[in-house]
Amino acid sequence: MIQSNKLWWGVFSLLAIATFFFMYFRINQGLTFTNLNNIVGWGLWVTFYVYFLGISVGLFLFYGVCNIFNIAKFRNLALIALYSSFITLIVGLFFIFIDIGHLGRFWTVFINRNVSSVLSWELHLYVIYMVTVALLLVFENLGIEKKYSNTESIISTWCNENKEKVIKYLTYLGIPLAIAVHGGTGALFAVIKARVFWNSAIFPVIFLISALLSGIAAIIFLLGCFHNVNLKTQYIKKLSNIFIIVIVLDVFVVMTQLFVHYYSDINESIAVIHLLFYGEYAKSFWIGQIGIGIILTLILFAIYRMNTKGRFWILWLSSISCLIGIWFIRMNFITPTLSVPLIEGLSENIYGIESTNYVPSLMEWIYSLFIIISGFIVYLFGVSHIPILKNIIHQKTKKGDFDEETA
Amino acid sequence: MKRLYFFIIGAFSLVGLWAIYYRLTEGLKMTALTSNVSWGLWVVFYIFFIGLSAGSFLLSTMVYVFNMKQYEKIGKVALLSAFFSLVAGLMFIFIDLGHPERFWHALVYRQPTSILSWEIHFYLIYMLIIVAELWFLLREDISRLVIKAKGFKKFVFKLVSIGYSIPDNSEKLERDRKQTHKWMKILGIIGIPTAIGVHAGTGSLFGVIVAKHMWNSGLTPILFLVSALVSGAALMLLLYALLVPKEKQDNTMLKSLGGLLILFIAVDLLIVAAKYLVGLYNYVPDERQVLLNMMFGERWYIFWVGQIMLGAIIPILLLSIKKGSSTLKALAGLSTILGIFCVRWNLVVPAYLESPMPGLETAFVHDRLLFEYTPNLFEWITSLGLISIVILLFSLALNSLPIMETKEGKEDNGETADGVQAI
Amino acid sequence: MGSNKEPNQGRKEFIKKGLLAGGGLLVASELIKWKPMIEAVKATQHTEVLPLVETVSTEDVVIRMQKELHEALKKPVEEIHWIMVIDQKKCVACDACTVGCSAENGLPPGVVYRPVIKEEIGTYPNVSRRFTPRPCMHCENPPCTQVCPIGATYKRPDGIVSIDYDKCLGCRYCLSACPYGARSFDWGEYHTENTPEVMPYELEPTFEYGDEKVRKGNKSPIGNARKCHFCIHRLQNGMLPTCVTTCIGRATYFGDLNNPNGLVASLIGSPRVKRLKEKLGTKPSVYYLT
Repeated sequence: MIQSNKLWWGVFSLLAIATFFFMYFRINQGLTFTNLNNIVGWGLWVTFYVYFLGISVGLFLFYGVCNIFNIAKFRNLALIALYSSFITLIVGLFFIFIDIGHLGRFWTVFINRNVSSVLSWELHLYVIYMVTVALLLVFENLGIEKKYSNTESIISTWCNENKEKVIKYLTYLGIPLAIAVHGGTGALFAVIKARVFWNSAIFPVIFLISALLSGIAAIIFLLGCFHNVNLKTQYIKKLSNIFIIVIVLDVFVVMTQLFVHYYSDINESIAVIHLLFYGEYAKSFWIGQIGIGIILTLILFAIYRMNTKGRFWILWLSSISCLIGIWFIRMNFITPTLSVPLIEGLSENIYGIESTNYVPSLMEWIYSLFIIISGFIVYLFGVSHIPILKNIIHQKTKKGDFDEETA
Repeated sequence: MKRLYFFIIGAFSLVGLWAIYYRLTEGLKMTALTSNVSWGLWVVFYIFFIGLSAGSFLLSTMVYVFNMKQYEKIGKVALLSAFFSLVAGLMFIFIDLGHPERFWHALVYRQPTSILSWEIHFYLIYMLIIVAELWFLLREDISRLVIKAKGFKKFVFKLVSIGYSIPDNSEKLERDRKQTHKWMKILGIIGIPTAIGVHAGTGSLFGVIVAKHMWNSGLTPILFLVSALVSGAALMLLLYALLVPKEKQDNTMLKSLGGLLILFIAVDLLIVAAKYLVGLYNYVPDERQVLLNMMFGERWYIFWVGQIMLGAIIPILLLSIKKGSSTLKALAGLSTILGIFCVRWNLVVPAYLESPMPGLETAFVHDRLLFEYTPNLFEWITSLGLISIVILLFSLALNSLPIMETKEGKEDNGETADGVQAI
Repeated sequence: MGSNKEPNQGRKEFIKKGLLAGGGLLVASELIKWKPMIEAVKATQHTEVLPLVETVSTEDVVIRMQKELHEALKKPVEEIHWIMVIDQKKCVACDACTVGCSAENGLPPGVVYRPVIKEEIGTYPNVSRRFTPRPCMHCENPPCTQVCPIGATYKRPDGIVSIDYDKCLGCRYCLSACPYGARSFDWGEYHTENTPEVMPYELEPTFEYGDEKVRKGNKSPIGNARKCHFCIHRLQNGMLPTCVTTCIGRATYFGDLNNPNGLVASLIGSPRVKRLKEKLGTKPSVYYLT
């Protein structure tokens, strides 16, 4: 896209200065500028972390499936998915980085392990997953730009020759890894017996299905953003078929979990359901998760399907509303559960009754926005400079590639 | 060969009839059930067969709703086995009731808060959908059989065809076929949420019970559905590979069916892994102790040999062999079915074996108040007898109706008889 | 020498006499003083005893509960809320309630409405025993009535969870749903089954829920779910449940919670009170005093 080096130098220097100030403020002030407290300890940043990890895993699974089954028509889309998966993973991990109390100690998780902690396993898996995705990106880029083939070291020749095999085996490794990564993120919550609403084996499954949904929605979103990736209408239709099936599956699984808790009528789960349906999180649930995530998405999707011309931008809008809805699903999963007291009267006695109500503070939003914008800038940089993506952006459409209007 | 098969099945069916009569006259005290383990072998078979039915039906919708032509050959047998499995499941629940003669109460006295009440109504709607689909699918062939058959057979066929007769001219025939196509699609579309509601509902029967922590999760309905898909695909594989003569088998379809089965088994394993790992992580006595009993207790083999070996490892191995013959695939299907039976057992019975209140198991010790359960001979005989009755009816249907046919014009009964002979 | 002694003797004699006379006068005066007091005491032969405070009852708790039962039965059925209170400090695990209930309801083998759980707490030498009789909890939020496909088991307005024996299918879903294991299934067996003949007393009618039933053949209550029903048939006739009357430690109390002056309402206010498995949200009507 934008090739001008000077522009990038300028942008990145600005970014570095801004990051310095943000991090200084964060390290100096600690977590006091957030609205987190001892009752609701996980809030906006953890929601974003889970959300972006889900998108990353979903995108990677799309790439993996396209790779393994050699689906040529989605090849370009798969490469974009791989790169986006990498960037969203970094963004997600960054959210967790600023959320921990001692930022400087983040590296100790790899020194002090705890075999019984799901989070400990997860962090190691994140690293392996990150390395796998990075390696795949590198190998996909090999031999694209001729200038690199001048260095005739043994490693580079071997890499160039075995490129296809390595990519294949890395993908075979990557798919179960991605499933373990996001299933494990779900298991993080599911093993907590203190919170009845979380303590169910369905959450690894719900998280994986939400990840799949995030992935498909993100693919459709990216397809709309990258105008040069042209797909025939029938392929877009196939994508939209998968999209609607995964939406129905996700709604089914989430509603089953809510229904079983509602029927079982255990005190703590009913308290969470009350918060979601009638309490402080009612807007987030009804307007966000149900309204935007399900109803608006389905309406837009129906309009897209019923319209014979199949205007793609309606599907694109539907994918955006779906992505917003998934964010609300994550939010409604994490925070309301923490707002329910563990022992009756405990929080009122220590902190006052308002403490169970969590609304993210302005600074939390600013930080989140900053991280997302930085991620976006890095993303754009990569799109302009990574060979395979450059090719996709600059490719000219060949004749006969499509026979009808595509977007 | 065929005669021997029918003779054996017929003999077992007679035993089954006697066992049902004995059960209806002597009551449930002939079983080894207790007040504390109140659901046993018969309920396990009930959910197994309902699952088989829902799975087979959902696979048939692949052909009739999603137009996946490559599976067309198993469409009819999928629907037929869905019907007979449903009948088997409902018969098992019939003999499990304390008052079988009062079964009609469920349709007269309703209770909106009871999932079982909803389920019973769903089963009826589901059965109507299957019967309607079967009739549409087979009406043309049955009306041809009405013309050919004589005597009692003719009467039966005429009854089943509900007076439909093949029209004379080809135009009307085409129109009828289009109508069939349309109706199959409509019924299939209504049928998909019904089938999912039927079996996810059977699962949520268990999922909402607070008293048994191992059941009480949103995952239980999902687990039931996935096990249903696994057993349905396995049954299709078994029936097709077994009954259609080798020369006529469509190997690509078998291969893709095998791939589908592996996919379903993989998803099933994922869910089982989630359930066991999350359940074992925390010391919540009701759940962790039950899971430990299942894995390392007295009946460890049901989990390891049944659920894991027979249900997952052996089928995946057999199906991954590249140039595998269809017999191997049939074996894979059979092994999966046995494995899924063990899955169903582990879903129902182990949850009862832990006392809900500490000390209750020694408060009053009596045979009928134990927290242990081993099905006795009578329960096994009744189960096998009932299954034989259903298999007998299924074989008779397979024998008389052109189920495994795809080509037109080859309706003679000798063809399918040869198919059965391939056993 | 005789004349010296005589005047001394005479003086001693005089003092003695004088003292005697004085003493006699003293005693007489005292007596005279005391006489009216003695008269007064004699007059009040009865002792003035203050009446006992009315809240302290001198009658047996069972009698009191009986009286309160009669009072409660005068009210319309939706204004009553039957609860049971079991004092675990008083229970001695004699099993009289288990046996009495079985006798009252003609319970067959395998059906026990009220077993008593006996637990040993601690390790020797610091051990004690704890006993928990477990009738049906008659929950305000019953998980068993929720799941019955027929609605054969239902909660009465007075709080008792009942079973309609003629509707029950015997599907045993409610047995699976009770978190306290309080429901049993009638398998159709007899205690004297494998003996030369089934004794006539086993075929005597029982009167649960006020209906006469004989356990024969396939008829209810054979093939039904059964459970403790707070002896409705006895309540309807003004009698306390059997387990309450037969408890030798007077550990089981029964009454109407809606009566603020009643025995059970006062017992619930104790800090010792608890209910079983509160977290499940079933809200049992059986309270325990630990």
